[in-house]
Amino acid sequence: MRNLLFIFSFKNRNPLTAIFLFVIAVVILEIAFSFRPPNTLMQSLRTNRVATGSVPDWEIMGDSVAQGGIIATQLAGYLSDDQSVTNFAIASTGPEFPYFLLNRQIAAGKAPKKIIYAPSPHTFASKRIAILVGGFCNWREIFEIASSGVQPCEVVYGVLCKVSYTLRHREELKELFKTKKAPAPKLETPRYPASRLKPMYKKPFTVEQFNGLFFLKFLTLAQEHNIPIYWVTMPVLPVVSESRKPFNFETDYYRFVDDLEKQFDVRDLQKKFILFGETDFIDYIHLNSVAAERFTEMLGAKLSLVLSHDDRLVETPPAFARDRSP
Amino acid sequence: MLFNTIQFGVFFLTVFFLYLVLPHKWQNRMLLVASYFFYACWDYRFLTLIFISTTVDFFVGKWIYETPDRRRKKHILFWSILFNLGFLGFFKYYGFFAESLRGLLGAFGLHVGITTLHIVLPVGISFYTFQSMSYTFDIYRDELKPTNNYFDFALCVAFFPHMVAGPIQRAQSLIDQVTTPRTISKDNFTEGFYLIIWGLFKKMVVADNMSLIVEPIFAQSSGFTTGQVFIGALGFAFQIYGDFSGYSDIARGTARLLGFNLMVNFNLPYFATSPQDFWRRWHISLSTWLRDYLYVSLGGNRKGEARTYFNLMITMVLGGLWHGASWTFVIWGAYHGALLCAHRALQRFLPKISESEYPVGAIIWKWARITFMFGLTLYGWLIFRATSFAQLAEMTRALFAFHIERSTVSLCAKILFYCSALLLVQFWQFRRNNLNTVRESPVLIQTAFYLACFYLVLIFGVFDAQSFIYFQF
Repeated sequence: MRNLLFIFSFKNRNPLTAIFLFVIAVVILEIAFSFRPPNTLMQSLRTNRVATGSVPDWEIMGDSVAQGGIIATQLAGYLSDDQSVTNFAIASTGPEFPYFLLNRQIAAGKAPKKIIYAPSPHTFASKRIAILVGGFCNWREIFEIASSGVQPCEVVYGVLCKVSYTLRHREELKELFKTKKAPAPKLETPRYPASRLKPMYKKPFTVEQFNGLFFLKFLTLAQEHNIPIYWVTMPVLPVVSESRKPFNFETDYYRFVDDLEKQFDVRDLQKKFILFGETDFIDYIHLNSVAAERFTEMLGAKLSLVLSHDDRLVETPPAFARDRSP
Repeated sequence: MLFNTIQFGVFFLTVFFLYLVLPHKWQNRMLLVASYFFYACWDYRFLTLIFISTTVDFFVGKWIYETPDRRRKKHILFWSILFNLGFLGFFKYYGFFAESLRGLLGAFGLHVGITTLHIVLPVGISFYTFQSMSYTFDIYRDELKPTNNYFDFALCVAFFPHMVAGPIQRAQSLIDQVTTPRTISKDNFTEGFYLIIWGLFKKMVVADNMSLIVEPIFAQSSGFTTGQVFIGALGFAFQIYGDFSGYSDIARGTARLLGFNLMVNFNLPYFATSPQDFWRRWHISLSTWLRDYLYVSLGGNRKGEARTYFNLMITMVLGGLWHGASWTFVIWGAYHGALLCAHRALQRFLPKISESEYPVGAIIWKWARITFMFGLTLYGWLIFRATSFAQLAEMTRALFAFHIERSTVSLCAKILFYCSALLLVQFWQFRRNNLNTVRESPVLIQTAFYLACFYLVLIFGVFDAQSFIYFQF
């Protein structure tokens, strides 16, 4: 007991004891932190998206842009009564995620019948292994990622994120130290000037190798289970569209989707970029709720039109949709 | 492979565990292979340069030692220096001198077509060239006996912790450590651990966050305000210090875990009271190298007052040029040379306040000198970091316009936020006049220090590994 007390004595200056205590403290703190509720992103990533409810007929997949930009209940109004739509788009994700999500749903016997895939095109260029491994995947899936030829260090970092609460929530913890809140956006014109556009929106369209690998796996998996994928490109701001023109972003993106349409059961629902005005956005890429309603309405009308021409589906669009179809 | 990446962590752990199980001779061989692999991760093509430099200096060292005639020794040394500096000059300075000559001739109306080659600068060439040169210098001065084992010498030059950015270790001290069996003692382990975690904190929390503040300021070419210039200089002062001393600490820490003892490279430089004191605290391995091999060789202070000033200026200008092929580095060197000369000339006029007679006065005087020297250092960093003379002139003009905007205060607070832990620890070290203060403090304080560093790195560290500034030198 006296020896134990001596460890904490001010007379004890043994550096090795300090390192030992530090390691123990880190382990205790991380275990204690892990009992804290996860943040919204982690909660969203960890939600078991296969166990609740019945099998959806239509499932929306994508990132935060699709999550807030397509309203599932509204879209269901354009389909026949027995058709259900679920929005499973997850914020902060990219094209490497749907494979894992669909795989889980198939394993649980809850795979959707059709998928509306609405990615943000810029997400194809960068990978998010830390979020994927640290927040989303289980150990079996991590092993699959590690054995897919991805850099081991990236997987190691992801695993570190998975085991360390602090690392996983570092962005949120950093925010706690920001005393000054960001000022409310001024209603200036233009509200979203090109000068403040983030570099990630001003790049050519490219598909990162890891993303490409798991996205193709997703398409293959969907095809194996006869799940058609309806491709949707979310509306963009004119300034975003303009800044991408020098890189032929849109042409390359269309070529990419066209290739997918030829190889897999990918169908064009709203492949072309459409421009929405500045007042329709809450930032450079996310639609506000009014614009989301307008876009869903547009999408619903188009969907009912597409479905009415689709030989494989026998259904009648509801009157509401027929009235508003272009 | 940067020190602040998981790749390096994996690499080092592999080396460390292999090191633990191998006998001494094989430890050295394994370290040599690991060091070459470490370097090859940047650019394997430049391994040839290290190999040539190592081989030439190894045999030249032997040749000098075996030559009895002093004049002949001098000749061999001369050719060896010419070879090493020729290598360095070609890869680092060819483009710079070609461009400068073309500009100079152009000013006189002579338009000469000088071929400029787009040469990639090999990482760490200045460091390992100086490291290798010190070996032949020491043999020439009869301060060192050449080693007979080529691989041991090759390891001294290429030892991965210090290969790309120093500390520029003296050949004597490193050869002794390579040739004698090393032990991984409790002391080595704890000091290594302390240095690594402190170095990572300096690099990832201080330097990389300062870089986010500083880069946009120096990206401008005009329209500076006094506040911006001040923030730019202050931020860069902490960026370069955190970056380079962080690198040195990690280098020393990893070497220490392997049983090696590399020299201290930084000793609280921003607490310097004079230019002379600053250079005793900043990049110590380079400043002592320049002092011992250049300043002393030029005659040092043994050839009269005027020659001393000349030698100081030459040493500092060449020291500035060593940092990079740009006139701003030359001017930075000249600026520090001028400060050293001015201090030397004015030293006798400066009041000497006895600490025992006037304790309060002595403290005030000391802090006044520290503050003044820090101000001079800040201006030096402006010269160092400026992208062009035009930018430097603009910034200097803005500095005296005394226009401080509101954002300066918030940026100052941001700098203080990221640097407060560093300043606190360094102030403590300065008060105790001991760099080991943390490791010698009670266990609870040490633990709190490690926890603070660890969590600050985890939360505030910049994780998209930024390269170390001194790698470009």
